[in-house]
Amino acid sequence: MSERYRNLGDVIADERFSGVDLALRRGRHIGLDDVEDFAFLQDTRHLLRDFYDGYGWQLEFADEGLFFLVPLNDSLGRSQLSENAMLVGQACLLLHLDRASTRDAGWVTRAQVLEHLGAVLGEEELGARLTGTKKRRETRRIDLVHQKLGGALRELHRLGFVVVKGERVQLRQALVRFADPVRGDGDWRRRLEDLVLRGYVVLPGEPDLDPELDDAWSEAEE
Amino acid sequence: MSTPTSPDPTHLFATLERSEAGLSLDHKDLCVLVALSVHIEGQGLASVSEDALRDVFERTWQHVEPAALNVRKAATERIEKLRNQRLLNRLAASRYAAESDYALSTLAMAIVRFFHEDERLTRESLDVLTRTLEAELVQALQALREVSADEVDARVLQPMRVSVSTLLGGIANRQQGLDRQQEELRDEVTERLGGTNEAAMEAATALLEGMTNTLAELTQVLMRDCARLQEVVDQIAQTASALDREDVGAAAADVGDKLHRVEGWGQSRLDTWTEYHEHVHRHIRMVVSLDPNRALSHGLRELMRHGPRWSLAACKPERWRGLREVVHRRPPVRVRRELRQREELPEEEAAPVEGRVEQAVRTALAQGPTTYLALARDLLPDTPPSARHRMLGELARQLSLQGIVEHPRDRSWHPLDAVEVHDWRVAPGGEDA
Repeated sequence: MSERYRNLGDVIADERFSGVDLALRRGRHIGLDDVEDFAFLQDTRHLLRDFYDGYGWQLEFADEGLFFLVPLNDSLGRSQLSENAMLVGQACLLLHLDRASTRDAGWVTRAQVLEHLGAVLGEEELGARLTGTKKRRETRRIDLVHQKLGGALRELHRLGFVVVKGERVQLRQALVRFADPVRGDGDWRRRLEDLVLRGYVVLPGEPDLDPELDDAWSEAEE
Repeated sequence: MSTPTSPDPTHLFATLERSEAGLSLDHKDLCVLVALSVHIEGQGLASVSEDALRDVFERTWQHVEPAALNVRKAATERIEKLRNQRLLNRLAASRYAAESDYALSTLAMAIVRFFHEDERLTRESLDVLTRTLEAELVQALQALREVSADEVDARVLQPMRVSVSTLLGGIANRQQGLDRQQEELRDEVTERLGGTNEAAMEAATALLEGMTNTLAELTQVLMRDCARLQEVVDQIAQTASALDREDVGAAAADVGDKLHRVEGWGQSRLDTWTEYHEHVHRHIRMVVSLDPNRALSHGLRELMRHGPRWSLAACKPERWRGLREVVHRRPPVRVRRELRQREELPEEEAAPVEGRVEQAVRTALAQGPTTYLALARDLLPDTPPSARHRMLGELARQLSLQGIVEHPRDRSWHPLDAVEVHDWRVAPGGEDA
């Protein structure tokens, strides 16, 4: 524990607390890229863990260098990433693991993300999954596919998984969360069940993050 | 320090569009240009004769297309192509040149320099260049202080515009060379990262460290040397100001700007490289810990294709709220009367207006044709202001009921106290008559 923070009062009195607390409550992942916030959380994690326990939230630290809050009950609201954000997030992680993404220090283009999704799922399936319909006329509408991709990327940006700047997307360390069900040697089904039980993962049925709210937040943050 | 204003590129766009300028070169054209450049420089010439040009071409063609049958025809076509693209200039025959000579254009020389010369900025070359630059600047400063006004142009301005600019250009060229080297190095690092063994990772790391050290060292030297050079430039600018030589001051400002750019290059490249360096290190750590044998990537692809839909749990973001203090206000008093009741006039007021108008219309029509305007003028003085509009409306209604209204094609407006009305001619014989 840091000498600077002897108790929770010291932590809350720090000027960085309000910003970090708000970011975590909004579902943001704070990683090594957020140098100052990450350092603050590293110094105060033992005290903040108790603080968030009171709300029924768990302050999680991943080995890859990542802090985030896991809602263990519904006392302050719980939600889940949208289906599109999940799909795009997994594609972004695959790109992140690919050595080619190091060429530009983790910056890729939207087209590359879409291309990678297409390579994994196939063009038809990609269109169907992103647009949420099997009608060919819809799935082949490039503008609609790009619109859905943009919405998913905005959601991922707000939660700290990527940084979107125009056509360019910076892949961040937080994307490793999308690897949770396939980590280790075990069967991913069992691992998924375990993650659901622990509250890290939600299976379909619960409402997604409100897309309108998402847009409003993006604008506010800009 | 003055900042040079950027020229408006739209004029250039228009010129380029008008002239349909464009470049189309393949590697064979580039080989011819490089061979020609080497020949001209090697012979110490400014231009070459057509025979020499064809000779250079044929020798080049033996390397780039050994199976070619008609080299002469190819030479004619390629030379024409280079001329059309302003890469090769045909010099007019003169008294001194019996037949036309050919020379490379500045554009061609720049292209050759880009591909052929591979000068990179090193500690040694930077030392030599900055020392020479300092000597030139100090000499220009001394000359400015000592020589007469007539000699300033030759002894101060020319060296500053030519020698100093050339030396700074030399540094900038070498910086671009180092930029290219970084690009190549990034490709090499990416290639090495493909290997899963430790040696490949170590090799990638060594490449990164090497360039980081080079850049850090160069940035340090650039900062130190540029600060020293800037001091001399400032002294030149001050002396020029004292002597009232604006042209020398402008030349000093120009050199200062170039120095700034040269210095800024170091820091910006170091920052970019540092970001890249950190990212690659993080990538190596992540891949080693997470996906050393690519099993995770494979599993994730399978999950995306065939697995169930799943989502990461997230905190539910609350809507934005304005955190203002609560102010208790009295609830507003409700208006209980219905809107319709407020709009309608009380019965006791409405009845006399309607009755009076009906009677007046009946009386007037009994005497023969009348007009709307005449009746309105008769009734208006006895009507309270609040009932005027109602009276006029009622008058129109009663006239249309009791008489036959004639509509002339052109009707004019007539002022009537505070309102304006159309005049109607009304004859007896309506529905209620």
